[in-house]
Amino acid sequence: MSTPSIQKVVLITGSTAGIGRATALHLARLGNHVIATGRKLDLLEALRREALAEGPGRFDIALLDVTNPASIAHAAAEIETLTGGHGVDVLINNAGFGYAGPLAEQDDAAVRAQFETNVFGLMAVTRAFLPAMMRRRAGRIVNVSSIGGRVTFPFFGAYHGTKYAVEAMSDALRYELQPFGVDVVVIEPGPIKTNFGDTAMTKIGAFAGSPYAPAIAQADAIRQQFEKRAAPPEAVAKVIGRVLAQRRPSARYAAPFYNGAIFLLNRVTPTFVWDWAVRRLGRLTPEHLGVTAAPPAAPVPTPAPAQRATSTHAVN
Amino acid sequence: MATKSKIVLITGATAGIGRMSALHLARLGHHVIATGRKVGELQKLSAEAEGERLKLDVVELDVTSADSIATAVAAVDQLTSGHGLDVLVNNAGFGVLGPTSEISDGEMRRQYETNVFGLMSVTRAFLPRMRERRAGRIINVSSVGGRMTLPWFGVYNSTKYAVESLSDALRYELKPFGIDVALIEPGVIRTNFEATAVAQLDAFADTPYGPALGNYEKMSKQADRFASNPIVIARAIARAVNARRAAARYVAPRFNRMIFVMQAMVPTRIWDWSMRRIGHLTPKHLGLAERKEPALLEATKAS
Repeated sequence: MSTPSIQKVVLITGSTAGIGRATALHLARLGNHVIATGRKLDLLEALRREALAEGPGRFDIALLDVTNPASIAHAAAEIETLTGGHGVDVLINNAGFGYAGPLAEQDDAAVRAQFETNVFGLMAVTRAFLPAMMRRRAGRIVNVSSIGGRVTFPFFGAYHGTKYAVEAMSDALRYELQPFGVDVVVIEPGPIKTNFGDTAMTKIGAFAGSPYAPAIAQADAIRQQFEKRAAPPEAVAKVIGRVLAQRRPSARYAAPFYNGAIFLLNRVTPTFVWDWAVRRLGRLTPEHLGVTAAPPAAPVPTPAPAQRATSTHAVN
Repeated sequence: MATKSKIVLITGATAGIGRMSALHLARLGHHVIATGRKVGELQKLSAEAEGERLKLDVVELDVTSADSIATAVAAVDQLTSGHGLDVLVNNAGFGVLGPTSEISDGEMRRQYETNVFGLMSVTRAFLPRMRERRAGRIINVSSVGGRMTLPWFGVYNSTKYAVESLSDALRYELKPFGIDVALIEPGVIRTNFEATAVAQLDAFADTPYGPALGNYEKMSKQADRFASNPIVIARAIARAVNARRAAARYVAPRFNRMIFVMQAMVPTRIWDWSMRRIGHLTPKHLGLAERKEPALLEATKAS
């Protein structure tokens, strides 16, 4: 174990389960003053009991719903008191979720709900805790994005949309906050054993009557393909722990690191091959969907030169 | 014209890229349905098209209003005798400039309403007819800024990054139904975009970024020297409309692709450094004392 770095005040959103919870415990073990936040008080209290049973460090909890401005203001005031006016050294924007479903069939409300938490909520929390960092000319913002923030898979279009947005926002914040001594880091987890999958599936029933029904029927099989490669949330917590210890962190960390291979694969694969592969993965083929291939009334396009080229080929 | 005439609807066609594309596509022989919020501008466009005897209809459409979208769908059904669209060009969009953390929740949402949620609502509305016919094409006008972020453009960039990803998912998911999805990625283009974006900068005078804002206008004028004519984008859109199989992305002008190559090759620290120079995000420009290393500072205090 390396010598524990100077104790930092770390606030984590969405820490009642999954990556947030594992990260809260891990950072507390490293000697930080953790403020674990979330929407469910009973789960937060259980987390605090678990943390305090392990050691004498300082571990606080606060109710925080990132989609509720009143809740954010209330938590900010509470934390101001908890830290004696210091504010937080590190803000970990971890709260986030996705609903699975064919994008064009997902209704406006479902798309918006994901942006509320993953994008607007993240920015609202950032705006609330940033001023103290800028005044001190020191601080760090860690945004938990996803490998899906730079690569898109079928049936998670809206979720990916939110994470792509977080990537761009983090880039701009990184440029703009550096002169004020505030670092901005993006964590990109791959498949992780969390509630993500369960939450994602909650609205899948809505598409049973859609043209995607045959693919949806195999959603569980698709999910298993992903989840058999899933890492435990502690693997992401460790990466975040290292980011906190770094004097000058990098802009992005895939977590676990080997998930970064997907970006390389995406870059070197021609789009038509990549598309073909992910459509197979998502059962998005005419055969699976029971779609008749031939378009009915479309007249044959007649660009003369192109046709000549084709017939020449046929002769050769 | 050799290519088959298609029914093409364009959103945000009252100015800039949208207007230019509407006229260009109509001149190529397509039946264009130009839409936008400003009835006066639409009428002017209609008159111009009539003067050239182009097949161009205008329909009022506010992409942020569900009622307006429903009315437009009905109007299009009537105009096309129930056929619907062959091609939907989601072009409506705008950007508000400013330090990302200083842009208010309301301003941020306003951009998402048009650039993201509006785009999706319009797409959902015109998709069913395409899917019935197992043929159609959706062309989303994103930006070079949909794959690279500039300082001061964070919120705008994030809406375009979102559009890139949404388009990827739609491309996978609509392909089995014979519907192509293509992205147009314009670089710096001479439109109202910059004027719209810069006009709001004064709002940030009282923020810690105040001292750097004045320099921004200078930078904007510099960027204007590189700006291309919107006709370049109209031609790219026409390529995407006419292609037998649309590509996933069309960068326009094409040399702007160099930006992505550069971004992939340049180490992040160097990229960031130059971005901060471009945005005048240096301690000197911001009137800050030289940056003290925070970790060191705290270590000294602790010992």
